[in-house]
Amino acid sequence: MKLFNIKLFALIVGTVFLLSCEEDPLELQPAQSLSTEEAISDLEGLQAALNGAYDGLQLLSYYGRNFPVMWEAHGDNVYISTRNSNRFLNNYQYQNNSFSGDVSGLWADGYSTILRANNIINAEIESTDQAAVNQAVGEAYAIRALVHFDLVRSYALPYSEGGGSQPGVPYITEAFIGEPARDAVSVVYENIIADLTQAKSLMTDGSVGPVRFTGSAVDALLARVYLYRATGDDLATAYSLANSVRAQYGMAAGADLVDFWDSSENDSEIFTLKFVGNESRGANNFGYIYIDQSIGYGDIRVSSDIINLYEAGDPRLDLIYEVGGEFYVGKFLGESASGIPGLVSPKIIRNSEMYMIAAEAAARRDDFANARTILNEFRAFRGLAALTTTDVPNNGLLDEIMEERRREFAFEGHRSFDLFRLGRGLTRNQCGTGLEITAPCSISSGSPLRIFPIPQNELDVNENMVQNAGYAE
Amino acid sequence: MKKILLTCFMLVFVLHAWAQDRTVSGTVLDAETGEGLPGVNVLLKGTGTGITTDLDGNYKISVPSDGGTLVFTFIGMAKQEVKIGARSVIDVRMDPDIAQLSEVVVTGYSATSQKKLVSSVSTVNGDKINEVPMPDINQIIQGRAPGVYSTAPSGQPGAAQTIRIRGNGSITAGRGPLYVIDGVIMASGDFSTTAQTNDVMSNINPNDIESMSILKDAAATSLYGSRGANGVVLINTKQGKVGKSKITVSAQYGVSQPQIGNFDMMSAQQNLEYERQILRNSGFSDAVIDANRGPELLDNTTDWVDAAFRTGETSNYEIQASGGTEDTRFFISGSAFNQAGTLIESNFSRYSLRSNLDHKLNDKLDVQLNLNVSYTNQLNAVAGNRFASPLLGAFSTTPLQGARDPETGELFTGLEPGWLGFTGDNFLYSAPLNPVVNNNLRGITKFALNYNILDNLRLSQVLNADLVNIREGAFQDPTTNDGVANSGEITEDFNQNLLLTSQTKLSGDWTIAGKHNIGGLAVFEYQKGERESFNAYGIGLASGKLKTLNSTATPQGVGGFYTEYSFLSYIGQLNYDYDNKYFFTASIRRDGSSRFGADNRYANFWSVGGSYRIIEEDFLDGLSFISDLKLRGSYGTSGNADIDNFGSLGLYGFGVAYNALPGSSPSQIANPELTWEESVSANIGLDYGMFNDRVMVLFDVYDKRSQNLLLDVPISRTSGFSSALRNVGEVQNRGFEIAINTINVEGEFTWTTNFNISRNENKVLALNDGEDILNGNQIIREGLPVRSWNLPRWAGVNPANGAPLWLTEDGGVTSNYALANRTIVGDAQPTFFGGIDNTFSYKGITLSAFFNFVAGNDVYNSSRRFIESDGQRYGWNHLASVGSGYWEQPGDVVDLPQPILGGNLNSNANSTRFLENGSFLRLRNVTLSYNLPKRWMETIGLQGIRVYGQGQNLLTFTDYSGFDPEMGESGDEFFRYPVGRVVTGGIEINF
Repeated sequence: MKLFNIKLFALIVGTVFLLSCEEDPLELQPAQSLSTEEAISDLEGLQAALNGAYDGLQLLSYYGRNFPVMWEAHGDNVYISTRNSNRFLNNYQYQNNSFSGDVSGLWADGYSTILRANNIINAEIESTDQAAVNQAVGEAYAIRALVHFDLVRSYALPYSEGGGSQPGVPYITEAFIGEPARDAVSVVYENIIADLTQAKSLMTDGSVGPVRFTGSAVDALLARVYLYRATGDDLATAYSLANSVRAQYGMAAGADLVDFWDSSENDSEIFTLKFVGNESRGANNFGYIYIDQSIGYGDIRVSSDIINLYEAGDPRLDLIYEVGGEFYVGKFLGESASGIPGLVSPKIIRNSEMYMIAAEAAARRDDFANARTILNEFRAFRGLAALTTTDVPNNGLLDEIMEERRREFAFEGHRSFDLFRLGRGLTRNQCGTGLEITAPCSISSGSPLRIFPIPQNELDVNENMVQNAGYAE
Repeated sequence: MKKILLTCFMLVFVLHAWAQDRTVSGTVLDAETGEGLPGVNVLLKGTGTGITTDLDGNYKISVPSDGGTLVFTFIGMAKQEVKIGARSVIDVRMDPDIAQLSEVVVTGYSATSQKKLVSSVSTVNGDKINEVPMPDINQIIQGRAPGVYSTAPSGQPGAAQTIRIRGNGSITAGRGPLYVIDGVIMASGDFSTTAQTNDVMSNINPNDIESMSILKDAAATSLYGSRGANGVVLINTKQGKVGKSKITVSAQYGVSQPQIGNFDMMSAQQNLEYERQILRNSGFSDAVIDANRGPELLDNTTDWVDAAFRTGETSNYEIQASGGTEDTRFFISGSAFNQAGTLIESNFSRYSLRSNLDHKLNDKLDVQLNLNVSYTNQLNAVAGNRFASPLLGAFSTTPLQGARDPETGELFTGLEPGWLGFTGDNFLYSAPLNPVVNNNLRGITKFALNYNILDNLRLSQVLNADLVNIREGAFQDPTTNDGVANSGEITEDFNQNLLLTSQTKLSGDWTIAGKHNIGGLAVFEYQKGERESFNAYGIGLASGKLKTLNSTATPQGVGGFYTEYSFLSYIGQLNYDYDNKYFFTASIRRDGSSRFGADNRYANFWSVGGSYRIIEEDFLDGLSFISDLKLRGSYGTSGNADIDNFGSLGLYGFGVAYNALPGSSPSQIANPELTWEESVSANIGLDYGMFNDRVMVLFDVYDKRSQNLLLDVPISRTSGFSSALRNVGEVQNRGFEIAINTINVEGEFTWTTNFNISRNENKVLALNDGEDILNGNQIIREGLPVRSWNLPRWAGVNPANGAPLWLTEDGGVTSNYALANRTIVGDAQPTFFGGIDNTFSYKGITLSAFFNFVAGNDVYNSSRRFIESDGQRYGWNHLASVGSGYWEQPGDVVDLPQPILGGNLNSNANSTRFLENGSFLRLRNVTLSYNLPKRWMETIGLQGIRVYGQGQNLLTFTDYSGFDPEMGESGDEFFRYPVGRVVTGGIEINF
């Protein structure tokens, strides 16, 4: 009997030990995550990480919605209705402070995307297909440059105001936890240009856009960067880059504009951030904030300032619609193919911008002949008559180009940047009518509030970070 | 067969007995039932002579002619010693040994008696648990155990309860206790992802519980090593007892009324008058006022609060059967519990089965199998972050809006252009269409094999599997505001949690030279948890009647994950006592866990404790005011490992995509040094009994320091992350607990009182570089309690112009909120809390009344802040109390600013205006029960019938202006589901 007991007991305990004890029962690895080294060790991992970097651009506080909308609300094309969902008010009212959620969200999402790009750039990849590896790393350089460019133009004064010596943003090139100081704006621009140059050199000719960075898209971004910096030969470089890029892409004709904004990956798109049907964020979809209240929030409406700038019959008026006596943005209704309200693929760089950059750069270099030619070529696409020197004399040509730019890129987040980089102030003619929430009717060309404050949660943990003038420390 | 065996045994003894001088015979009866007790051991004291009673409880034993003493023993019954004298017939009635049952204190891997207890342990007995019809055992221990602060953050049936044992020991990591059922660590907490709140502990049927022990000090919790720091709740389920089989059938039914405290809303008439006044104050002409708030609005009105709440119902039906022989014991039960909440569209039901079996294979070997299967179905009232929430809708929607179209009689959807409610939703229409459902299926299986190597050395092997399957579904109808953006939405989420445990235990005890008692315990334990899930989400429904993902036009996300953790532990404990006077215990646990960094995977936890039973000293003999006196002390360490399973690794997650291609992104920063929080605690206790223990006082004082806190430390965003988990910081909890249990009147009429009070002082001793952590309206700062309020100070209303005033930094007042300065103004944790329970019984009638109280906490009424807006929320409903007493003309000294359209200078911005005293005294439970007289029962062939009625939350005394001062640990109330007032009746029949 006793023997039976011991045997039975030993049998059961023994079985339990065999079943329960693995090789090292405490050495477990997660099933849906990999360590950074493992995650980016081969071409497949590299490409997944690159998709992750593009996904970073899609974050809600960045191109997913907030970044272009914040800057649009800063401008004079739109107003925020008194009937609103309490979003983006600080931006329209110029009341951001270091605690503003939109402001810290953009900062956080931006650097999160930069980390994604850095881990690709700094990865050691073993692969036989070096061209594919180079293409992926090149795209990561382009993404890193784009994010730093968006951060420096959001959080630092325009290049011309301080000649680049004013504080920019930390240019981060590797993964680390630290307390980096702000690099000078000039250093940030040099790094952006270096990264874009490196991107271009790594990329294969014939890489496929527009939903990914291609060599041409890098040139297009570079043209924009040179235009913003505008020192030395920059305008000439911007001009030649923009001219070369615009020849490679088509242009959506006036009659096609509604279709153009109802679709993506058209032949005039240079870099577009693609949102597919299963990426709906419901009420947080990009266009929801603009779509009238029968479906969307309808918070941000079209100001009479911009409507008055279009000539009668301008096809771009088809991108504005009326409900109950007020006007709404029709660019971001959502692609009818998916049928999801407000779900759009933001067209970050499109060929119209190359025409505008070339024309502006030429005009600013007093090359009025080329400037006028390019502007008129562009006007033809919009069904508008050419402008002669009688219509607009040369000394008014730059203003005319900037106005054309405003008409073309209305609601796409360019307007305030364009004013401020040229040292211009902002005037809202539709102001105080009772339709809008209370907000300033003008912003002077020197106002410190044109740029965002450094977020408080960064200042709190980073001793080397300094706040922008005009904002509380 | 058994009968024959028994007869043989008897024959042997009877034969043996002839050698004695004379015989004594008699019958042993169960005093409760009056029936013969078979199998009772009858021993002649001081000899080896003994016998057991026969099937009818009869015995016959030979005794010496000069008599002696007979000792009657039986498991579960009080031992009796009877002097024989000259008698030849001795009948004995045996009583259940309440003392023996209640005295056993389970301390985790072993059990001891209250007398020998060295550590600080609170126990709650099953009878207190069983008669209260609540879904969750955690709700029942409210106020019952000193040092245990338990609150209900939500009245949603099946909601998770907040339990804090001896304060708040952590900031980022989990703060809830560890749950152990029948000796095995269980999965606990809220595993749901869609539901607002759900606790897997609500799957456990409270009526299956024999007792609960709550381990508080290091001597007790260090046995649970890296998981013991937040305290341990030990639950022991009922086991069969030797004796006649018992069947109990019980039924309970109750109704509950919503309680919204002092939070009365305006009627339509009041609302109209108030809003007309707001317009008038804002300078509008009578024509404009009539156009916007004309009397025609009173034609179709709604009392939304009345519409959102209802009378809830609770019912519980249960069968329990138990019994056993010396070889085999069993307890089986089945129950069906259903609770309809006081808010529309909230429900909870549970079906539970349990079978606990014990069988002795032979003298050496016994086996045990506990099986528990339960299924719960919870319908969640929609949370406040959705339009369809009846809670938000009830208090915000203007009563001037009718619920139904007066022409068609149909409910409005709220999407109509003229709808006046701010949410754009009629919850009466949408809440039934947009259910949030949670189903838990839980199976707990415990198998144990025990082998007695020697009489005093026992080896056991326990295997336990705890499987929780959770299915959740959320639906958003395309015709409701929540669903309209996506033309309807369906979310389905399944997850499975498996926790496997293997425990090998060797325990023994020895007595040396009569006075030295040594006990020892060695345990090896391996535990592995796995969690697996998948979910899918689709949008675009042609009709709200289509309820499956199949019918969605656009599949949105398909997700899923798998995660696991493991613990490997070695436990040793040594107990020594000398002469029943000095007790000493020491324990050590070595814990390893997959959760911690490779550099820090194992650590040791230890404790020592001792007690001195002063009462055993001769110099205390004969003093009636000292019947028991014991001094206890303990010191030791335990840990808190309640963090993410892979918190130490630098990770890339693969949950992202771009252009429909899979992507990856950094999801976590590496910290290979990451380890558990360590808690060091000291406890000194005194047990003092007076007047034959009719007065018992238990006193404990403690100091617990949590070090190496697992803290989410904010880091520069330039790293790509906002915070990193690190081991920094220290929090202290110190305090005292007093429990006083008295028998005030004894006899046919009995009156007993149990009182307890606890004080806990919480303080942050260190943080990362001393940096404050902002936590909304609270701040975590060195030297202050974890839950310190940091708010601008309200200074009332300016009598000159009716504007709000706040204090500035230099002590002046301002009406500019931007200049109001934030200061430390209170603490959300109570200074004192406790309870008092009085029980009166006379013949079969028992009346008990239980109060609990909380004192000295500051709570923030965010609901009131939202709704007492001085005109900002024109077009909503308003608190009835703001209809008068606001500023009207210069010179008015009042509490409420002048209400103006758009609000009066941000007057309802966060400030001490909404910070209130959270103290309360609550009549938590009253029970009146009646055991029908035995003689009636006998005539109908039953063992007993008990009928009872009881009420919960009947009275609350508080100054708090919101729904209910009892709230979650944050101390912030924002339209949470209020706990109801419940009245229940029940009947229990024993066969």
